[in-house]
Amino acid sequence: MEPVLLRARGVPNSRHIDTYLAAGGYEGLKKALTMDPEAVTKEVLDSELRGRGGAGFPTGRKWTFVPKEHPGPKYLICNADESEPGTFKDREIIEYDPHLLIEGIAIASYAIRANTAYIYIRGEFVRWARILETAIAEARQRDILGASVMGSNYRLDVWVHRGAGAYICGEETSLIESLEGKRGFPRLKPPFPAVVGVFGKPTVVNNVETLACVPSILTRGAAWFASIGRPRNTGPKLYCVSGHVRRPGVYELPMGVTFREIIEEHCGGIRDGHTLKAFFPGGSSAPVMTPDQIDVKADFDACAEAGSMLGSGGVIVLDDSVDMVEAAANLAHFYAHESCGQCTPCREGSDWAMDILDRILEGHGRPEDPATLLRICQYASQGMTICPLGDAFALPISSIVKKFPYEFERHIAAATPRPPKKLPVLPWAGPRPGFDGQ
Amino acid sequence: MPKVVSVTVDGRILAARAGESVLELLRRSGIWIPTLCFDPRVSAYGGCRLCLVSRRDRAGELVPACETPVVEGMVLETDSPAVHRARRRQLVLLLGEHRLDCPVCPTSGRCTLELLLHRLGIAGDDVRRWEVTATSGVQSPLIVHHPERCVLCTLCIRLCHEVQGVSALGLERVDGGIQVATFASRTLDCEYCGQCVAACPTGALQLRPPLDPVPRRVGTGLPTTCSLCPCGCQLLPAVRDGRVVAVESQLSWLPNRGQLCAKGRFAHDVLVSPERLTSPLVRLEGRLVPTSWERALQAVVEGVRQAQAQGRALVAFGTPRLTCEDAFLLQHFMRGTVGSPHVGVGLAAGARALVEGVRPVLGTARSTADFTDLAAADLVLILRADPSRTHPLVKSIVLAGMRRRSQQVVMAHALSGGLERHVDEFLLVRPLGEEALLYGICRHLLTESATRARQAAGVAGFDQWQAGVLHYTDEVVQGLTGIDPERVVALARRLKRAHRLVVVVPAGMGIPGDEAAVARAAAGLLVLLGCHRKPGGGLLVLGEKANLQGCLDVGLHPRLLPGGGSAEEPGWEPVHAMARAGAGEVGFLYLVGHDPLGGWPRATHRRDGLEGAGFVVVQDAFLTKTTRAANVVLPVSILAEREGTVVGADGVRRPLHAAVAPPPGVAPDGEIFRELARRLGMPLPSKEEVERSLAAVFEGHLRARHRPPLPTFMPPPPPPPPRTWRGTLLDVSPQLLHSGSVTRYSAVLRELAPIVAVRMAPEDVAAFGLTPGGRAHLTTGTGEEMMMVRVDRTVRPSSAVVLWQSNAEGLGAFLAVDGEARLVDVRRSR
Repeated sequence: MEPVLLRARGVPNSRHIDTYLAAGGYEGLKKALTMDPEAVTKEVLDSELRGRGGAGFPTGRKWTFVPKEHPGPKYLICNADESEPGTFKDREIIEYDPHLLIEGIAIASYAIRANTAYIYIRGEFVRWARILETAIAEARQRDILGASVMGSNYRLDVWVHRGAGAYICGEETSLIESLEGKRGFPRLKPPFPAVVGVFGKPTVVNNVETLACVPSILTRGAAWFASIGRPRNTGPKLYCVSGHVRRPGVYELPMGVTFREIIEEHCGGIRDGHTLKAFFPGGSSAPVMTPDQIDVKADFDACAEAGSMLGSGGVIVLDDSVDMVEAAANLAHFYAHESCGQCTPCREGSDWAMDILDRILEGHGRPEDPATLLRICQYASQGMTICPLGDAFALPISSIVKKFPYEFERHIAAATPRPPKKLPVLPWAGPRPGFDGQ
Repeated sequence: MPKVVSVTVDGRILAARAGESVLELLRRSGIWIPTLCFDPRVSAYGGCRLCLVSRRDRAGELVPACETPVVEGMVLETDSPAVHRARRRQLVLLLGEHRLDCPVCPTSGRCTLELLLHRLGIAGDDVRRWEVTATSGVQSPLIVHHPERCVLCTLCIRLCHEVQGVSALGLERVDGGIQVATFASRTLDCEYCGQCVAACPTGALQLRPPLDPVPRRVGTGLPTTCSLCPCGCQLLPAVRDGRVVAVESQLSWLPNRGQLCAKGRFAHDVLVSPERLTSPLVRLEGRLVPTSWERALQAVVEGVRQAQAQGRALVAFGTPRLTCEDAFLLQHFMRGTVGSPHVGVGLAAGARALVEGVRPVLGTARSTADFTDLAAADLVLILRADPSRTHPLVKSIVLAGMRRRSQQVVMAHALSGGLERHVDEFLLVRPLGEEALLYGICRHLLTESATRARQAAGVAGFDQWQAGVLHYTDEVVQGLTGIDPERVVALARRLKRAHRLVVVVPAGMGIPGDEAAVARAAAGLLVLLGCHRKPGGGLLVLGEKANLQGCLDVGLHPRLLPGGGSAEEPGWEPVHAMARAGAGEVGFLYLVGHDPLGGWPRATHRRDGLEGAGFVVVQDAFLTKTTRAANVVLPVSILAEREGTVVGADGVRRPLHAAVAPPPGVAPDGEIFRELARRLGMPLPSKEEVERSLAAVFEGHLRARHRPPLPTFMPPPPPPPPRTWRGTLLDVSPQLLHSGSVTRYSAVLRELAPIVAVRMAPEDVAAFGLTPGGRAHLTTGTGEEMMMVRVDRTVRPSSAVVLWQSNAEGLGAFLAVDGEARLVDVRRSR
């Protein structure tokens, strides 16, 4: 398949607007501006494009949720907070083709009649924030953005907003809170951002890769896009492969290739002398998959059927050198650190799971620990939390416990009981003031 | 009318108001839902997950009741095994890192977490047992913080931010977890209202041990009214062994809904202050010596008789802290028993605003808006000063209105405060410019809106008023207020658009002198807009002390009789009376709770005012500066020792219930008046008679609310020439932590109160060549003082703030006098 999202990778001076225009850039936007916003939405709806941020919600549908007759401003937010472990695709698009993203943003903003768009970019992405700032300035200078987008009477301003590095701010409602200048705490849905979003106004939040798909849908048509992959799982997809493969990296492949093809063909297989033990199909928040599932198609529906999820497309490959308990502990540390602390199940659960996994690794595991871990994960999943971060830590950890029980048993069998701690004895500090019987 | 939505809960069909949350509906319907992080005063948080209920119409999905709005056709289960299981899980998770030291935790017995454990049936084995040891968090002179007992409900943070507007607390990452913390872990520096501690559902936040008696016990008995300011907060003193050991309040008590300020919560220690007077004193050979009540009262009676015999005047000032009953007795004592018209509330700016400002225009010396109106208003205009320093409840009501987005607040005054950073618009007016601003607005309304002018034309005195108002042209107003004409026009349009407008005039703080003029102008504006008496509209004058309104209602004023009638023969105003005393015309001066030497502007009296008076009686709970000039000092009961009623700034009469007996040797004010009257041979009315008279007075006010007197426009004064200001504007401001009289004897508040210093903007400190922490020399026409210099970024350039302190000798020199902004020369001092 010829690359769509990464077509600029390797092209000299690819970030410059002239390079982009020479390659037929901003044609999609030009076409969109001749159409009704509803027709643009219809085109995206027909392409069956699904959100690439992780949830796989149909993008066109999301756009239709914005109330058309809403008085006052509406907003588009591009979620560039890419912080899911094992995911590194959005920065690739921004690095080589920032104008592709800006064109996608402009088309999407036009479709929902937003005059302001924000790119919420992860705080650590200083380089990519600068690239975007430069690209936006170029687009403004060419009147592609600003008071009159490409000579039409449509106005659009795009702003880059840098986050402060919290994982939770990749979740769309926390992102909105953070964009409003508050602590990044998620909001309960409903109301969905499409109705009550940033500054209380209708807001669409789309991932970078999702928006980067939009220009080619406009130029080449929805039918072309839908012809890639299989029904309901269409279009090109960026797969970020990391871990114990020969050639890790970002690969643009049609949606629905099998994990075997990704791992064995494109990445050159597992490193020498080792065999595949497990892989996360879509970032660290997805339940782990085992080698017998390697022929599963890497698309939204197939992964869901296999009991996992495609998520952001960050394939993390683990070979037989990996201790799965250690892997689980690693994840638990990440989620315990990144839990925002607002609601009980995620805050306390991730911390508790981390403590138990650490205890097992330290050689003090108890026979009941795997069951306790499953119980904690159950407490934090199933929609018990405000946002999906509860699931994000509970699902992968519980899947590891379920699929690799023998690894836990091995650790626990070799465990030595922890010596009981002596309770601290408080020094006698005299009678408390006020407790003198008065 | 709000739409009604029907919701099925546990098989019952309930009528819900559209827009309310499921939790509100369930609580209203008497269905028990456990919560840790919910409080109706603040926004929902959805953190504790204890209020989960099951939605049968959505396959049993568990939703948090606090954050889920009611929807037509919703089917809920609140009592199913799945719901109970989910709730228990939350508790198990919360207890994982909780320090389970309940037997020694001072909160045990009133801890919500503990209660829920028992109620939801958490067995000990369910709980993860890490060894959790004590840690420390927020540092404060008042509070002990145990983060290991915290459930991160953030009620403390949200109350501090949303209700108090202080935002002293926040969440911070500490050792891999988050915990409640102050910015950069600094020592807590806030209003010390104690809301965070009161709201904490566990033992994480506690008052330091002497303040939080162990074992802590909820007070029994009747709630009483806080008698430290006119907000009328309801509180309950917790009593042990005859002493008030703590003060509590409850969410269901109006108007404060469980909220108290530092004074209300902590000032109760003045009751047992070692400085309290416990026996009468008489002057013998130039010294005050303890004596018996018998001899002290006899001395007073002789003082009265002597003054009468000499034909010199007899004058009494009663503090507006007196209860309605005692105030009624005092005016009866003076007017009836002694036969002197010179009785009043003393130097109370609020009294001037109400009697000379509101009464001529609106017919009664009362505010026409109460706290309900304030909450319901869609626009609030606050003039003259920042009420957040003197009337914390008013601040919270306004903050809540802004948070609901149902209210806009505009402030216009000359000084700095704390509320201005929250309000929608702030206009910095030149000192004493508020009156001109109001007339400028009126002029725009008259010229721009013919309808308004036509509607108001029927009101008595309109033509004269209009003629006067038209003199306040753009140039005049700009000259007096320093505000651009465009902003005045914009403000006028904003006021015109408002349906429910409340104008707030705090009196007795900042730069006094023009309260009457500002209140009169504000009343005129409200009449013009038709907002002077309507639900959600009116004028709210915030006076001093707990019962200024009640004192005026019962006739403790030289010009008013009980019930609001005018006195035929008006008595002397305080300033006038002090001048007469200086001239030797006063033979008997009775100061009930007043301390002119300590707390009145020095320019209103000279020391010889007191020395010139033939016989001075001071009736107070403490030895004040004025007692130096007293012939007799009579000790009285205060705060939780008193019975009676007080009328708040909102015009509501609220009861005081004595929680403790006064110390031996101390008498209630009313008893002293009675005893004196009896000895003078003309007893005061009995308790029942007083109650009957007061009932008639307050029934009259109630009638006036329903059939209000017709308003009259009072013509504005001709605009004065623009004032030029040079020098530094000194604001001797009341501070939140104590008002300078009774509360200054509270050891707790004294410890918390900031040190005496002159606070100035950084640029001024530099301009005067001062050094922070160094000393400055302040001079005015009436005195001078050396003071420490503090840099305060909230203070405006060319002004300086000194917070009113008990222990700052000589501050009286800097209190402003009538109609005069206080300007000082600031010099560096070696």
